[in-house]
Amino acid sequence: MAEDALNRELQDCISRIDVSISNIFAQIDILAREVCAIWQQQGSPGKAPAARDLKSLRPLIDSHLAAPRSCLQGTGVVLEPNVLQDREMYCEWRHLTTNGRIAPLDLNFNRSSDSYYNYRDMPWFTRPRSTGQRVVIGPYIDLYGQDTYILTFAQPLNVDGRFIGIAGADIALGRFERILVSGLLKMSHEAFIVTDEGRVVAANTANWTAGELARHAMSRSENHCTVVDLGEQASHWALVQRPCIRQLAGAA
Amino acid sequence: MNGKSTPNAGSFMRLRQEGRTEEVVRRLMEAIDLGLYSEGQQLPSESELAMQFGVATVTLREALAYLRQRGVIETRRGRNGGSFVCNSVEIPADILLDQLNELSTIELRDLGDEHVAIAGTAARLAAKRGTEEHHQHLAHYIAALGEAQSRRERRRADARFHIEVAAASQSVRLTHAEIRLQAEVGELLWLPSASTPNPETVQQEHQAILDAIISGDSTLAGALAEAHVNRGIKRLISLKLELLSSETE
Repeated sequence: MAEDALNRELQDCISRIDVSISNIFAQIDILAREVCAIWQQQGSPGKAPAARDLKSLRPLIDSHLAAPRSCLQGTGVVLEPNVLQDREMYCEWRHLTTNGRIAPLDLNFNRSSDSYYNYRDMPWFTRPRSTGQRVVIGPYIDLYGQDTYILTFAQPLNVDGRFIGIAGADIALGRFERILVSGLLKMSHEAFIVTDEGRVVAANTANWTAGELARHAMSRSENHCTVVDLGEQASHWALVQRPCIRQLAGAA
Repeated sequence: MNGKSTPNAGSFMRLRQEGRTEEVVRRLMEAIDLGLYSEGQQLPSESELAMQFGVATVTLREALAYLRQRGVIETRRGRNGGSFVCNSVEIPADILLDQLNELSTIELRDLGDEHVAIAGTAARLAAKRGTEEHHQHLAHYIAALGEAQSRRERRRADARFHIEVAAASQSVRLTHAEIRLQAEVGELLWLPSASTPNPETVQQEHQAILDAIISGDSTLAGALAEAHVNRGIKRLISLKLELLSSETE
């Protein structure tokens, strides 16, 4: 295949994936604006909102979770400790249960418990706090949270220059795959998407599966693979195109 | 299989704790589906089944009532009465394809990870703990795969081989896990497609595992079983990608 036809395939695929990532951040941003509005409505500085003030977010959160073709497993806001007047740790986070209903995510904030969910140290919380940037974390198993294999998208919430928490969404990789793979499957060569740590997010061949580390394929990339960073920078994802033509299952 | 009686079916299914009705239903369905109880065969009496599952008779009756309603079993009254397994039809391929369509490649990979762990360990232990009798059972199901006339019979012979390996490991937990995994993935592995292996290929792979088990080479038996499971899952992932591909065209 001609060089520029190959390049076009690659660019098409990348722009599809960029769009799917920014669509998710667009939803998170709506939520973030709503939270900032709640903080501003509290008016006088020094007076912090209470947990009940965040209840008004629920219809918006539910509408995001119930949207057709949504890949959201859960979404909401997680607050920096002690920004509320009446709680230390708090989240207004709702998720889809195994039977498809929407329910609040019940996290354990009891320090002495084995399943203590200490989000203060979790990368989807610490990174937006320290960098002020959006992040995509994972794929990873959200232990004691969702207990499933997810990606977490998060963006910092800043009010008057002060970090008050994050707005985010958990993406079920199993459902997001359909979107990611649709572009990859249009490519004639084996290709996959990797995170900055070299973990495969999606692939168009059974030779690579999501969750595997593809570092060694990457290290040979100078000679054999084309590696292109995605435009959507929050993800730190790259598309890797391998030199081999994609084999169909029937031909395997 | 093939009309052979399966006197040990119950021991595969003993529940450790007070089980719920759904759990009993699931276990019985799996057992019937895998041919541990074959069509037309009479199930053990209610009290016997209740004892095997370690549940109250009332719980077992609820489970049987559900299966009767679903047409899985029928109950005949009278002196020779009891619960019998109904003849069922082969699951049509398009329903299986729908089932595959519901699974993501991530779920398939994860299913494969678990199956590799279970089948690999079972084969390693079978090489250390299996006896002549187990070897004969395993050889029987390899032969049955060759004689099988339908997709369903092939699938059952294939599943039974793996379950018998787990039984040879002497581990009830591994055996339960293998039964559950076969119920989940077994049917899909024989889905008709261009990449479906012919029975002889699978027979050869099973035979290689059996040879390693007979020679007591646990490392080789484990490695062969793992590679065998991996090949199957890889095939399913390829097939799934094909489905996704035809969807987006």
